[in-house]
Amino acid sequence: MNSNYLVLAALTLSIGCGASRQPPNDHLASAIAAVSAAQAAGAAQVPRAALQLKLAEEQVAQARQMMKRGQDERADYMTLRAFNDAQLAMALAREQQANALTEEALKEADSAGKPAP
Amino acid sequence: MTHIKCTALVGLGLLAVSCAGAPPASLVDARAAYERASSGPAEKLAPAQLHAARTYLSLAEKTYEDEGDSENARDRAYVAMRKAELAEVQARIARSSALAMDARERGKLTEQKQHDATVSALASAQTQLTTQRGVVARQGAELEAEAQRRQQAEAAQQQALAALGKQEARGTVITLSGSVIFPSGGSKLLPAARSKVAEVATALKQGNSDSHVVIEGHTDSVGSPERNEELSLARAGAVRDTLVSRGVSAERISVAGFGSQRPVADNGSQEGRANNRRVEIVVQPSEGSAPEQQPTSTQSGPVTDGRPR
Repeated sequence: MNSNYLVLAALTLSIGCGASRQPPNDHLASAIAAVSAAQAAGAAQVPRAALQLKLAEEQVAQARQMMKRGQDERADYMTLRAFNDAQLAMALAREQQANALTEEALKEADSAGKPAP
Repeated sequence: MTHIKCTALVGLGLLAVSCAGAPPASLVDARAAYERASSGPAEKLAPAQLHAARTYLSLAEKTYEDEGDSENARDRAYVAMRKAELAEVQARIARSSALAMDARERGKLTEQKQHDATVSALASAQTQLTTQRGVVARQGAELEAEAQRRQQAEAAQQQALAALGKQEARGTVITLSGSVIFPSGGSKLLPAARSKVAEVATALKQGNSDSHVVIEGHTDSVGSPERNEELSLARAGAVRDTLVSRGVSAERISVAGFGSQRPVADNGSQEGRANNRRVEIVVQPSEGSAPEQQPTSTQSGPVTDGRPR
């Protein structure tokens, strides 16, 4: 999470300060990496996560289009949205995994107290 | 403190509304998302992410204040909302992980208790085993003592019998011979013989009651073989009956009549014939070897078993 915060800070500074607009290639790359990470975490298999992942993927596509049209500032915001959507998708996927592990741990704890058949 | 900050942000939002018209839906949603996240476990379990959400919401509010309902303001509000949602999810993950860890610790404690109970049961079983070994050892010593007692008793019996007879391969042989044991042609024991048989009975009762006794009746060559066989068997039976009457178990005794088939002396002389007229009491060793030779007729058991005359 600390690295994500740094990315956020960089994005904020670059967008908020209205610096001379370069194509947001680095921010696009960060967004694409976040989407890949969400996919690897299994976000597509978790309903709520899948929705966020789809939004992220669409926004990455929109950012590319905007960059082609020279709309770098808009593209930059789009990469920011995509990045955060992907982050949320990954977190939702991890939440489901954590819940599954917790359920298993609770079952094991309950069965540990019972005599073997 | 969090609630005050939140209220301040909402106030800022309202100020923005009064200056710039209705806030965009994205900003309203972002405020609500932050309000929800900050009033839940994210304050404690995902403080960094919640702070990021707060920072971005402030930025969104400022942008709305400066630019009104601009795309930038909406984008920043969108991002702020996502960050608030992310803080909530991270808090839920942290809580779930804590539950799992707690469950595993409980499981370990239970396993430890079960392990301790098993160790205790094993120790108890070990103590029982040691006790039982002691019992077995004690019983072994008692059996050993009993075996020694029996050995001593048998030795005493052997000694007593040896004084009455002689040791041969077939066992200890006590011979009752001569005219002092039975009347001529008869099978009733005379008093002198009865007292000797009584001595044998005393010796037999003394030691090992497992030793088998074979009573063999013999005659001289005078008379028919059939009559001699019958007489020899009857005389052996008479000795048996006397032993039984003196307390020797009938189960231990077999009788056999050999007639004149096994002379020990010359039937040509009076003395020889007298020696051949005999009853031999053979006390076999306790391993219970069978009699060496098959007699003409045999009988074992009590007198009333219907033996042939």
